Amino acid sequence: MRRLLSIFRRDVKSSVREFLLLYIILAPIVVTIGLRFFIPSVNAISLQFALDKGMEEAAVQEFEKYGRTELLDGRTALENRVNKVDDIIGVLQKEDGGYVVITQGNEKESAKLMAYQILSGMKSQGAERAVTFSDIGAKISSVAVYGASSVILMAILLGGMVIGLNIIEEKEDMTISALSVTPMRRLEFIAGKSIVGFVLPVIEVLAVIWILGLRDVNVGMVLVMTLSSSIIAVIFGFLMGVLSSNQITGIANMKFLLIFVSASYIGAAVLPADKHIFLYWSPLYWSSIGLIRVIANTITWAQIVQYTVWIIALTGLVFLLFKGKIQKGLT
Amino acid sequence: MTGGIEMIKVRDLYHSYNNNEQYAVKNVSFEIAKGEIFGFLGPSGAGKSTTQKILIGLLPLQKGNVTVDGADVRKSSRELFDSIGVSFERPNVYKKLTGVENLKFYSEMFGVPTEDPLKLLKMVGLEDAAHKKAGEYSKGMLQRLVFARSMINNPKIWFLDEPTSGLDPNTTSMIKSIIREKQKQGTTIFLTTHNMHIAEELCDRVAFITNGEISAIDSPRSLKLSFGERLVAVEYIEDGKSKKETLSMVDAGQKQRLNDLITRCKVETMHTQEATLEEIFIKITGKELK
Ligand SMILES: Nc1ncnc2c1ncn2[C@@H]1O[C@H](COP(=O)(O)OP(=O)(O)OP(=O)(O)O)[C@@H](O)[C@H]1O
Ligand SMILES: [Mg+2]
Repeated sequence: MRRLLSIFRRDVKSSVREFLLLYIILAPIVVTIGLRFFIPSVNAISLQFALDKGMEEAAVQEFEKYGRTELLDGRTALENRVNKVDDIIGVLQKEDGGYVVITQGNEKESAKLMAYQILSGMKSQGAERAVTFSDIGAKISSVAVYGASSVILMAILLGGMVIGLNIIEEKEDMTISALSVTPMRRLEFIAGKSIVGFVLPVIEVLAVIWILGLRDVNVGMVLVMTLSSSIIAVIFGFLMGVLSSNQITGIANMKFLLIFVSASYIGAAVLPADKHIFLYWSPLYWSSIGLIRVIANTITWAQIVQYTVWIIALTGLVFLLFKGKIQKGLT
Repeated sequence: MTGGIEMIKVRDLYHSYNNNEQYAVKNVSFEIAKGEIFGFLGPSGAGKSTTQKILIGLLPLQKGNVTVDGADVRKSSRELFDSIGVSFERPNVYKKLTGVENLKFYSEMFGVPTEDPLKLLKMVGLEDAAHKKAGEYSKGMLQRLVFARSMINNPKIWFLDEPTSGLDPNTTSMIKSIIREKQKQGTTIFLTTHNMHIAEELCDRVAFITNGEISAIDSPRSLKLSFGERLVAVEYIEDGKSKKETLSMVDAGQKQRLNDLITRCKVETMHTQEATLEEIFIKITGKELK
């Protein structure tokens, strides 16, 4: 165990000292920060209300006291507006004078409460009017779902790349032969080298969730999907390491892997459900679909287990196929 | 053989890289006693590194028997490496780590108490560069780093592959005195080199190896006594050019050659000399040492 940690620490130390590796490690975070600007809603400070044009002037004025208002024409227009990525609450006055508060489901509780209080405040002044809530469903904006899930997948794969590049370094400098004449076992080497491929994505995924403010996401589920997907990346990392004699060929080999990644992810994201069966062979498909659904909050633990089993089984197959190559490549 | 405990024993060792009859090492047998410095001498491609790699388990043992510290290398456990140190011919260190970090990391692989990295770096004159990245080291500094690293676990058996090649005379003598010091502490040393002076100065016994085969094993002194005495260095002029040749007074062919030179050419100087180990090597193996 002590040796595994030493190997892990060395890899981290060495990685942050090289521009390429540092870049690989930081890229997902940088992309997430960029993404953050397209999902401004999440932590927006001021309240926003989308109001129906047909609403009483007094009510509109009341809402203007508490936040920014937009006037829109009709329920459909309001729903479309509420559905957009930022935090905005729609309010509609029905023919009978009662109000409907339209929410998307991912707004801050305080915003909903505010709308309710504004309306009840008006109620006490004037006639008794019913307030009903209408949640139009979509829990989280699609920018957040696809943005976050693809960045997470990227962080996972780059973790594998860090492993690969570190192995290439050991091969190029022939430091593996120096380790071969210590009591270190080959399995310890493999396990120690793998740690970074799990730890790095976990840290980055937590950072992504935090930066994007995805508070409704089940962190346990994200971490399980992240760890199981990291198995794929780790195996690919080792393969990249043993098959490439230097950084350049390593990156070239990684590009080849990128085709599988993009095909799997895009397939999972855009293909209609009945076509997904054509992607079942790819462990990266299961990672993609799992991550997308976890972020969108449309997955159960049973499905997580199912996807994880697919990932482990398919990756295991890849591993068995290349086991000899990996073992030979590490001597 | 000096008697005493055998730390390394090699019997009828063969090795072929292509698993055919082309042997890189053939029929090699020797043993090394505890506390002995054993020199493995031969030209490039002779099979020195191949033999060493088999002894330290970097190459599989195909044919023959090898025991290191009493353990058959075929069945030895990883813990055997707690008592072995290896200084590689090619400096294989982490270029992005500093000298200290390299030694520190390496020390963490061992299950026995290890030396203080800074102390070792000081011993080889790298204290000023201890916190510099190894990637910024010169060739000679890298070599000293690898040499220092091989001492980290205080090995009982120490494998040194060309520890002084390319080092300046000062550094070379520093390395030599460390090797002698270690020997005094009882370390058994397997030293691979092309450098006859190092071998002559340090080794208790040397083995001459060419084309994968050992042609002589003895102490430098006995080798000189049996082969060294009757050599003549001749400087002569032939076709207007000054030439130099060293000839044996024992070998019939070379005696004839000396006769020829004296009768045919203008001999400028001629004196007997004690043969260097290098000349003895050439004489025994018929090969140059480069
Ligand atoms: N990996 C290899 N594959 C095939 N042949 C090899 C390999 N390594 C060495 N050889 C061959 O084995 C023979 C012995 O090589 P070895 O490296 O043992 O020589 P050496 O005595 O250490 O030489 P040097 O002084 O140059 O280090 C050479 O003919 C070499 O070409
Ligand atoms: Mg060699």
